[in-house]
Amino acid sequence: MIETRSARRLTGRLAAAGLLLVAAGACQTTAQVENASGTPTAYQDVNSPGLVQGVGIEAQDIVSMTDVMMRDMMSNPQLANRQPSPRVILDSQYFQNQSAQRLNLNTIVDRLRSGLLRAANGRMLFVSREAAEMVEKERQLKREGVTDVGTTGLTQAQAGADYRLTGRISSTEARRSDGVIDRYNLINFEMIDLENGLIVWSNFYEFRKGAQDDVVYQ
Amino acid sequence: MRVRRFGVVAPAVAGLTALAALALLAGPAAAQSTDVSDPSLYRDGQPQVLTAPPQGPAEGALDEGAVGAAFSAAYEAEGAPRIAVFWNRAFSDRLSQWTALTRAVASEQGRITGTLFDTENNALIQGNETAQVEVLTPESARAGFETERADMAFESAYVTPIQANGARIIDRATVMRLTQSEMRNDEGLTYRPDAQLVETDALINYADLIAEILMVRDPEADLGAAFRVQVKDVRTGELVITFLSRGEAPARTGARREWVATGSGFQPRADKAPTPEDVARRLAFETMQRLAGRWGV
Amino acid sequence: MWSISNAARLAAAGGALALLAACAQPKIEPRPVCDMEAYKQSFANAPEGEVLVPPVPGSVSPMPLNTVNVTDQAIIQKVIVQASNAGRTPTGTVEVWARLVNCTDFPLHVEGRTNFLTASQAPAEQPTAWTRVMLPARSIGTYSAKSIATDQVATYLVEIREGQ
Repeated sequence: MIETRSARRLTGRLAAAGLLLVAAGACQTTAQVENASGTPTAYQDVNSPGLVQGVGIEAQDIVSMTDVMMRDMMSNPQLANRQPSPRVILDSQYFQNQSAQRLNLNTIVDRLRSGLLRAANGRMLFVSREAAEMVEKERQLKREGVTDVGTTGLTQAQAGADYRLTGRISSTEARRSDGVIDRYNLINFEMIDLENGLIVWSNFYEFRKGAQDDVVYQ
Repeated sequence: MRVRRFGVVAPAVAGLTALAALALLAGPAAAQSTDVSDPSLYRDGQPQVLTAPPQGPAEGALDEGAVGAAFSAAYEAEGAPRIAVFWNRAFSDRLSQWTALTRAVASEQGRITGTLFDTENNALIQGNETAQVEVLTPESARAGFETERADMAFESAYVTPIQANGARIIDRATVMRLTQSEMRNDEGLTYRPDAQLVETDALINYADLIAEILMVRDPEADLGAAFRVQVKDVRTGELVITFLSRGEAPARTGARREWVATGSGFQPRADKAPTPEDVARRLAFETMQRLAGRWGV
Repeated sequence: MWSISNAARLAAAGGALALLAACAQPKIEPRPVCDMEAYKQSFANAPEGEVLVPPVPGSVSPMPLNTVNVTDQAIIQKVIVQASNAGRTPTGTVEVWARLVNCTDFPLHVEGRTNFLTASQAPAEQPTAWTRVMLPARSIGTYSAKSIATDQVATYLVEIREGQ
């Protein structure tokens, strides 16, 4: 009797478990996309607005504007289709910030130069004037016999340049008494022919933002 | 693209090959030590480098050789006058070195009443005596440069080119001492010394011209000072030349600038601020140029 | 419990509604008027072109190349891609453009980016940065992007999302 009852109980349990498995199996016949947000992280996409948003130039604006400028320059025949490749100075020496926002101009210019240099792949050559002193010292070391001449050969002088980037960031804004601010930002880029002063390429990036003015840019 | 990359690499490779060939021919020791003008060291296909124009004289710069020669000729023609240089010490209109601080006058008077020679007359007798307190206030040099060294350097740098062009320069202190020693009476005693008088006598006896350079404050000048130069004839008092100058070389307009590599690119080399010696030398040549012009040679 | 009076009231109300409907003017919508059903249908009927094929067959539905793909659920019923095309610039880079129609009565911000691909469907370069396009109510706007690479670019794929 005991055995019979135990056997019945076991059979019942097995049957229940089997039913559960069948039911579960029926639910998982097709793998679904888990359409949910990911684990929160401090890292944010440089292409999209971040946690803190104001009315100024932010990461996504810098990424977007430099990307657009870089691609536009690469499509300009005077800059990207010349033989021999033109030499360009691209630094922040003549790039001015006249806007109401505090901004490190090198963030824009460095991204533009780096991206352009990689993109150009020799179609444009970039001359560093920031490294002029460093280069001059090394040239002297070679010429005074302190070091050997290296392996790439000497040049008569440091490289001259054909074009140089200039630009300006300007802004206008309207402010309401309750602290809401509306700012228009214009970032203008120009490439100047360093022999005759002609502007051989120009483009601008503009946007307008309105928000409570509670963001401090540093 | 590929062509371009090859174009960049190829000259370097060619240069290296040339170097290697040179090394094989001349031996390793010769290859390691070569001259910077060796063309095989340089990359091929590089843009040309222009030769800088020769450094010409700046506009308004003095041709020291020509000025010196003109001065020498004029100086000789003028009879080689001896020149005493007064650096920052005016040959003023003060007559004596002694200054009277106070002056006291004591007066007395008396009256005699009576008959004198049967004539009744009144005689008034008056007398007075004057006493004054005098102090010796030697006329000192005007404030010059901040350091004595700079003063000395200026004076030397002014005198040297004039002397080098044949002029005879008289030292004020020496001739004054000589004059003082000559001013003795029969008993061998020196008269009361008065530097002003001694100076004048000294100049009359030992110099023909006084070149007086006075320093005046000029905030816009590189040295912060301008200089008035006057050359006077000791015997006649004639003012031979007078001019005010900062003694600065003119800006190098149109001349080649020098460039220096910096962290922000190539910057024009800042013009070196002139030293007192530079200014003095320039003033000396300006003096010579004007004297030569005045003497008409 | 239904009474006769209630039934009569209902009948009267129904009659009034029917009369109102008969009198109503046909609604005139400002152009462009979008037909999302026809738009959806056009995808189904589109001729087979180049598609981005996944390495695991069937794991991702083939994505037609040289097209504009609205990837954002939030605007998929609001924005229609009216036209798109691409051409070579004088330097050999590829410029792609897409004309977008805002079908709503509200201004929309959309962002687009382009993946330029080689003939073997490998990325010819990094995707472009998201570029913002403002679409006022019931209006059209154009998104455009240029490639960096030249000859390597064979196809492209444009993604459109709601502006952030």
